[in-house]
Amino acid sequence: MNSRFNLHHSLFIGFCATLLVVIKSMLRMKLGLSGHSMFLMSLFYLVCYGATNKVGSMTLCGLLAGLLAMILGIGKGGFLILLKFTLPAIAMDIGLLFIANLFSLKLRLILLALIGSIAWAVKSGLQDFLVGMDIKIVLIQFGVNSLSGSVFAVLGALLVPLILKRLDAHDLLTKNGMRNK
Amino acid sequence: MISLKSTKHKKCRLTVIASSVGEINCDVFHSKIKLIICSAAIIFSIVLSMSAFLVQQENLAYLLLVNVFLLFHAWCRQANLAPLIKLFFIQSLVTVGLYALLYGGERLFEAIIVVTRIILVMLPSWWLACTQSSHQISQVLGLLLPTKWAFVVTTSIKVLPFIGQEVRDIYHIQCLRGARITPKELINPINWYELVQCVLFPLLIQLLSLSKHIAHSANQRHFDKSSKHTHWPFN
Amino acid sequence: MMLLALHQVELQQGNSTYLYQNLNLQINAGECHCISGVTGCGKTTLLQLMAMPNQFNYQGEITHSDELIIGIIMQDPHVQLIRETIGAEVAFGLENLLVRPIDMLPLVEQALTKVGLVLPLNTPVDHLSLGQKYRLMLAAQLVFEPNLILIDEPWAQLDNQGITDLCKVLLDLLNTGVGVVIVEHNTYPFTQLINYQWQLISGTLIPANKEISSSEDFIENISRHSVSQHDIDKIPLTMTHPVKQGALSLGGRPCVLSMSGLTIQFANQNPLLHINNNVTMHSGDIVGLFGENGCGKTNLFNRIVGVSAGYKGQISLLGKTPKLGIFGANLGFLMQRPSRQLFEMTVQQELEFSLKRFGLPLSNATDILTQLNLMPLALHSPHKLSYGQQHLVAFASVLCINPKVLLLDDPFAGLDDNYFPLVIKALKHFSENGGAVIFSSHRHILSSLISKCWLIERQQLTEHCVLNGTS
Repeated sequence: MNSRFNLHHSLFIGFCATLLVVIKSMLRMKLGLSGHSMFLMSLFYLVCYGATNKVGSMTLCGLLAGLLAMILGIGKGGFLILLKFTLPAIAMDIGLLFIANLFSLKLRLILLALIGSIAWAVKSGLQDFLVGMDIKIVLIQFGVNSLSGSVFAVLGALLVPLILKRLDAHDLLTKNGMRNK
Repeated sequence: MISLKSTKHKKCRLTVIASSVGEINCDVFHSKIKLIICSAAIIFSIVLSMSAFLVQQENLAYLLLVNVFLLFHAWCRQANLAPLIKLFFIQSLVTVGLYALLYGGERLFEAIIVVTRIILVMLPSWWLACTQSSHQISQVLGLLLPTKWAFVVTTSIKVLPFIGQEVRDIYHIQCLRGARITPKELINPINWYELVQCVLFPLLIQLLSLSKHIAHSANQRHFDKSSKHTHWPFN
Repeated sequence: MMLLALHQVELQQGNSTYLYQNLNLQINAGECHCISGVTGCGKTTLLQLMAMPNQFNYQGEITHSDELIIGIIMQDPHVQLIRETIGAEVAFGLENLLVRPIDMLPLVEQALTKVGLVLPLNTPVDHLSLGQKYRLMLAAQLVFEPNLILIDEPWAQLDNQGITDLCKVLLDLLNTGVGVVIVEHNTYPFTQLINYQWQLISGTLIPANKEISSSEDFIENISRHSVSQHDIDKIPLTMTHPVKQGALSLGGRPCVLSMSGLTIQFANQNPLLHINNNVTMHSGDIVGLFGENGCGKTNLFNRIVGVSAGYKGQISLLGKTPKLGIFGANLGFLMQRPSRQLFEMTVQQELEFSLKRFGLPLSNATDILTQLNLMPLALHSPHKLSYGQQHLVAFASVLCINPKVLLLDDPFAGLDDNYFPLVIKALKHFSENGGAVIFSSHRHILSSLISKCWLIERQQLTEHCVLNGTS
């Protein structure tokens, strides 16, 4: 993986992860809405994908965000926060393998956001299931989470093409970035 | 490959620096001990969190006891209990509420067990975050990651205050330029896009440029020459 | 001994225009070359091209001698310092060259001694002044024992003490046979070091000739060079004197800013800045706020515009206690590194943003762009411009709302002698129409333009009237 990303892109992904963690820690005080973190996750993961145009960038961003949240003690810290950030990112990257060259950029980003939010809801559901929660309640929570998560994730994804378009117009996307796609 | 020319040194005015070397060596020893303790704490918290999923109901009391001890330890270290209490209340409200809605009062005990397990999953992580410094956790994780990614993580933490200041500065400057992004104006969702446009977008440009500069600075100092690196002994 | 040579180098910018054409330069050991040129002509890129030619798609020949080891110091130290302590920062390069930890200490100490930074190795980088950070960057390069050092615009970043220290280090290095290339608008402080002076004009390096020097002399009357660093100590005695209450004839001009009994202090730290007496600014005033790096100029600006609290005492701006957002189009503020505020697709739109938000006529944008000679850039993306040009666009975007009070934090950093007089002219025009301006700088400049100056020395701000000022 080291050779796939140059240091510039690796650091950019790291900084996006930092920003994601910091904004999330600021927002969690204000908002009690379930799923709002999917807005930030889909926004920053997809910006990383757009800036590098490489499969794996979202997973790296998720992994780094999880590690940073763990290090900085954001949320409850610990390894669960690592999973919370990483699982949606991995799911989005796997999804990307199948739809990398299909659809328009906007639709592709929305689909990836939906995949991410479902993975996020699955992680919560699995956790609830493992602590012995009744399956009906697990399913209800899963439904609520995936619905609210999807709404936020799609909102985040819709902003990404606008950001990429501007970055491209200013020649800020390197030859690896998602130029003219 | 660039070689260092001379390693023979002139006598320098190093009295200030030299006198601190002994103290630094002592610090190095202490920081190693702390690192070992931190590694043990990370493993312990992961095992304890996993146990909350796996342990049978009759043994849950023992786990609860260990966690109460952690809670007490964190409290002694002046940890903030508020997030944990908040989580407990929200979780109880949602889970017990749903059980009550679906099954009435008959399965409430089961609901309480579920809530307890969820708290026991979270508590060791919270304890870890409260009792171990971020510097030590990052050092332990740095040992596990490849050099490049360890560098990315430590650099990201190092630039955190800088990024925070950039966010504040850009936000203020755009407010002064008349952008509709004051807290009052952000109540209206129509203005959210303005926040993205004139704060998030310049910020991303700054991050792109910052990452480029730091990458240049690191590579110019031969970071990309080798996949192996030695370490400055006095961190 | 030849260290580096550029022969017939050409570099294309975008698809059509050439940044460099037939560019030739040879640097030998122990030589100091200085390259000047207008904002946006590609000086910084030239340093990068010399240091890392394989990252560019150029034509021509760039020769590195076998012994060449390059050290490069770019403009902003904050984005190049990587580690948290000074020891670790200098050792970073050694780590990458697989030097054994036990061998690092003497090398690091030697490099720090060379730049005169004799501090404990675990001193946090954040605790250093800008001048010290600059020398730390130099030490981080010297630790490899480079034989060629490239430096990008040190004058704009450093205060006079910083420049004096840097010159001393560079002189020692030149004497030991190290080559130095400095890219700089203002060559004056480095005269004693420079062997070869070049102008980068239309993509080619030509020796700086008499004609160019005389044009600089012409600008000198109003430029930042008007008070050289060597004259600084004399200024308070010869050109300024403390203002006594009522000493200035104000001609009924309203007071727009007054501060009294002010102390700026961060929690658990010593006070950063005191203002004991009442200092005031009236409409039509141009005030120079001068003090060394880190003396609290930016912090004072932040309090005046209301983006930071954390002060004791009284500030009254346009009759109100400052708070973010209450002054609207009456207040214009240009922060340091103003390129951060740019986000629109074109320069024109960037200016129109504030005009639209404040409901002002959009024609203001065109007027200011014309005034600052920026019309040719109006439809360009602001992010494709050079650092200096971006600076100017941000300045224009603040000026075009025609505020009553204009605060400019270090507005002349990165501006060349072409744009500099235009900015001065715009400021004069602005103040003649009743606008009040405060600008800050880490050295005393523009004594012929300002009506008074606020000096920060030893944490005290004192107001001085300038005898040959316009008022």
